[in-house]
Amino acid sequence: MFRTTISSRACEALFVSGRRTALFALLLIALNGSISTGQTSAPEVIIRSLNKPGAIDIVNVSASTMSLRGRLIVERKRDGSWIETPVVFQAIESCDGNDAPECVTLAPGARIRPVAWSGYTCSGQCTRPCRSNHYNGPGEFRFVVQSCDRTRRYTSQPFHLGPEPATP
Amino acid sequence: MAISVVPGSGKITKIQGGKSVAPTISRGVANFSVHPSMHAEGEVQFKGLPGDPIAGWHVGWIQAEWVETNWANYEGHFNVDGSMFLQRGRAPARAAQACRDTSGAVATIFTDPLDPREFQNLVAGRFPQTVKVQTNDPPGERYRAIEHNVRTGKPNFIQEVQLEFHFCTILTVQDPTGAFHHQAHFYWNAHWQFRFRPTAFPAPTDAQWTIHAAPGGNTSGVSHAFAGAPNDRRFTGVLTTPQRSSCVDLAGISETAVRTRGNASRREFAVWTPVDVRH
Repeated sequence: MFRTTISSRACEALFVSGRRTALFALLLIALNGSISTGQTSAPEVIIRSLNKPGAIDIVNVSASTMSLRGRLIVERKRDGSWIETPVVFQAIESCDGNDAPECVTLAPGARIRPVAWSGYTCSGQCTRPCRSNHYNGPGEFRFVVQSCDRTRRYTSQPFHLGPEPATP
Repeated sequence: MAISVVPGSGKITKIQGGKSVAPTISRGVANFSVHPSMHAEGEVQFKGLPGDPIAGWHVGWIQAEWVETNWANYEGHFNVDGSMFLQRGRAPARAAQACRDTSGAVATIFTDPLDPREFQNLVAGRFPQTVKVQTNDPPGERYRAIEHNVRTGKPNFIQEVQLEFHFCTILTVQDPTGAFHHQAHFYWNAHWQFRFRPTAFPAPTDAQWTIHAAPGGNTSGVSHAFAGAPNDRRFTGVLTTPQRSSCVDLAGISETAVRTRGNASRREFAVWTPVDVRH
């Protein structure tokens, strides 16, 4: 019940108030239930699933500025293992014609809400210079955020991508 | 009895070409897309004996792009505001016409060996065995609606774009020695040639543009399936040989080239200047 009465927005408000502790991070995790960090210590970055498959927030829940790779990894579960797909998914919040930089900086408590992934390998967020470009579903997928030096990985909860939407 | 492909069993069905649709301008970017996607289904039958080793047998698609026309012309509001021509289909922005079209690294050969719809391994079981795959592709492109002309210091507005992408898609089998056995193939293409004009200056919003197709400029085509391997030397050399870049890589490289000031593929003029779009 507690989980249903505190919204993500309220959590973000707490961030703004400066409660950027590992304890808070764990609370956020509990409320959203949609993160993983690949580490055993308190998480530094969480990936929150939003209201539809492929829609996420990336939140820096540490007390330090984080430098993350601008291009995320999308992994598919196949035969029980997670394998990296060729999907182009970037930490971009709008389709303004530019790709994400190599690294993006997130201040403590800050978040990025990337344009949601539609399931296509190349144009899954925005129209891009695509030639080979196919719908990657249906299947089980997850996002992986890497630190810019690629030494740390933060994974989202798995999500199911359905079949390709029918042609109108 | 070793595993082998049943002669003549490889076939491509339900071929649907990708349909190029009129571009739209969103957040200052002219977007060119295909809808619905190219789609095709393939199947191949194998013969063998129970217990025959199945490792190393793969069924999937190889795709080549063998024609790319890709240019944009920009004009300032007035003649003295200059014009620009961005050439992405020719050198130096694009080193070659033909390329192998993979979703990931070009060394994977197949369109996507990680996608179970596009790629399948032979599975243990009884023979004969039929393996089915399908392929889909909505290619796309983008150009900024407004570019800054450094020779005049003025905004130049996208005035005309022509895109022509021609593909050959091949249903293929790879055997445990690594050899490919092309089963069937088909051709498809998507064309756009559109003219743009702002209806407000100097900073049109996304809604303040008119966009019209040049006569015959918005077309797409698709062939039926042909048995066996293609024999067109304009692209057969890129199908399975080591390549430095995929078609997606080349498209990204050409975009970066024309966004780079001083690159010979980005031509900026002090006044409105006609150009030969073939070069």
